[in-house]
Amino acid sequence: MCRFFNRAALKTEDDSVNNNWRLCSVQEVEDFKAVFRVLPLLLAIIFVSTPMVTQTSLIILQALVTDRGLGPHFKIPAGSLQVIVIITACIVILMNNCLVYPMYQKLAHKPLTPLQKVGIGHVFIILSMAISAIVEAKRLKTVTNGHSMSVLWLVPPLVIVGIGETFQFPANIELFYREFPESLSSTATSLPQW
Amino acid sequence: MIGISFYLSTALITLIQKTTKWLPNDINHGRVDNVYWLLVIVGVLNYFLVCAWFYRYRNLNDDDDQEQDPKDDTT
Repeated sequence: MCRFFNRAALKTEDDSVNNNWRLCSVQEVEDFKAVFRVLPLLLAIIFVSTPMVTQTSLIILQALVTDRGLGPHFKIPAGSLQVIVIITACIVILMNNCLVYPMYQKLAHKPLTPLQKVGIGHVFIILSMAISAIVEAKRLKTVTNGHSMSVLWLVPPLVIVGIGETFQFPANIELFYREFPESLSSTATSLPQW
Repeated sequence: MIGISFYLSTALITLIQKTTKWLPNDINHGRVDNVYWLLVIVGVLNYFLVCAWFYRYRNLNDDDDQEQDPKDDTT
């Protein structure tokens, strides 16, 4: 697919070897191809983060209209509900590295590739959106009945989006670090968060 | 990339507010669940994009191997 880039390294008659703008080295061409090949995956990060980010803001709106009381005197602030994602991510990232990945390697006799981890992360994030939709439909039903739903119903989608993040983001960094040329390795680690 | 998606989500919410009645000021009278189903659709489409990339990448490697062999014979 990317073979037309090879022409950048093709020497024509009026080329002088010193002119970098006319002639690329084969190494440069191969490096550029490696970057070019992961571009679709970079775009995929945008479109999987968009639902996540939208959920972040919508969940605050939802939390404001639910019953946020926990116990007689305590009320969960709507904005701090997002902490659940971070806490889940902290726990699951430890579990993944110490339990899930080694166990998979033992059972399947090969490690999970970064792309497979990204795929698992995507599935979890999509699942979380679906659960959010179901919870919201249930909440609208309780509103028409005149009740107010407990804020704890918003916790499961947040936990699952946290799990999805832990699969997806470290694996994305790993994947880009592996695919990018050595001269761009620091760019590779920063691109997913860009 | 996450930064870009923050901008995109703002655009998406504005678009939904302009075109549908799913996101009024009081979401008790809106349909936020439909917004979430829309996000599910975006996620699923995106997932297939990743799968397609994976497939093409593998085929590309196979093609390269096949092209390499005849060249090696001639030289």
